[in-house]
Amino acid sequence: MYMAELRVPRDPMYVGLVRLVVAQAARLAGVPQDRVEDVKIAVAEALANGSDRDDELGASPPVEVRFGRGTAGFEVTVRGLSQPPPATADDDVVDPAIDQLDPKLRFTLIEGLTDEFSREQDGDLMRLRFVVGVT
Amino acid sequence: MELTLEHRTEGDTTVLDVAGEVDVYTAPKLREKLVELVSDGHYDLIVDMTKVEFLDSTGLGVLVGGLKRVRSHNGSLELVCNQERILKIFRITGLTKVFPIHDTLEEALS
Repeated sequence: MYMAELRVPRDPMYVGLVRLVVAQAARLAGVPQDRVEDVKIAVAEALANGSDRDDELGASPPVEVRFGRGTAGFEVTVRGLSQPPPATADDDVVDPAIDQLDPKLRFTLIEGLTDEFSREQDGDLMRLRFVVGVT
Repeated sequence: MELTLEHRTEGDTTVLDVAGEVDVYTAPKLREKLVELVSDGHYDLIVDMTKVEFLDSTGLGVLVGGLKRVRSHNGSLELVCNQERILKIFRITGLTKVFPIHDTLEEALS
């Protein structure tokens, strides 16, 4: 069992980098390739949570990402600022059916792609943890 | 990988080829392109996602925004996608009920 940790600025440009690093770690930990794709999306969603807050990037703490093979499988924990996911479109709703889109879309995706998912809110900070099984 | 966007006209329909990764960093570029197309009067769109390597919920939101824009002009937005890892995202979020999704561009155009 081991855990690695990354600390990156809360900036969308770092999401791709973290995604690649965590995906490679998942492969090395024995996560099947099709599930590595799930890990990549789940990591991206976890990091995107709060990345679009309005406050200045430099004024906020970095996002902490811990990942590695744990007792339950490949575990990832992302801790950083959060806010509810933004509306999924930036203009007026013209079709009520579309408006039924789940506003917690990011969490829905993480939950749907991983074997375990939990989130804890602590003031402005949110801790997201998910696990994907290994072979 | 960068996000590349190219569009062309096929009869009355505009096809937008999307290639690369659509995530929280690159999605604004896709949003700008969709806004530009609708502003220029392209109301019937097919977004070809055959070459999309990665898509997250921010990208989904941009596509939904595009759909709303064209529908406000009585237009349409359909998708071409045959990759299981991308289709899975649409299924989990329930968006397969919102977007017509085709396996091939030929099928979408027919």
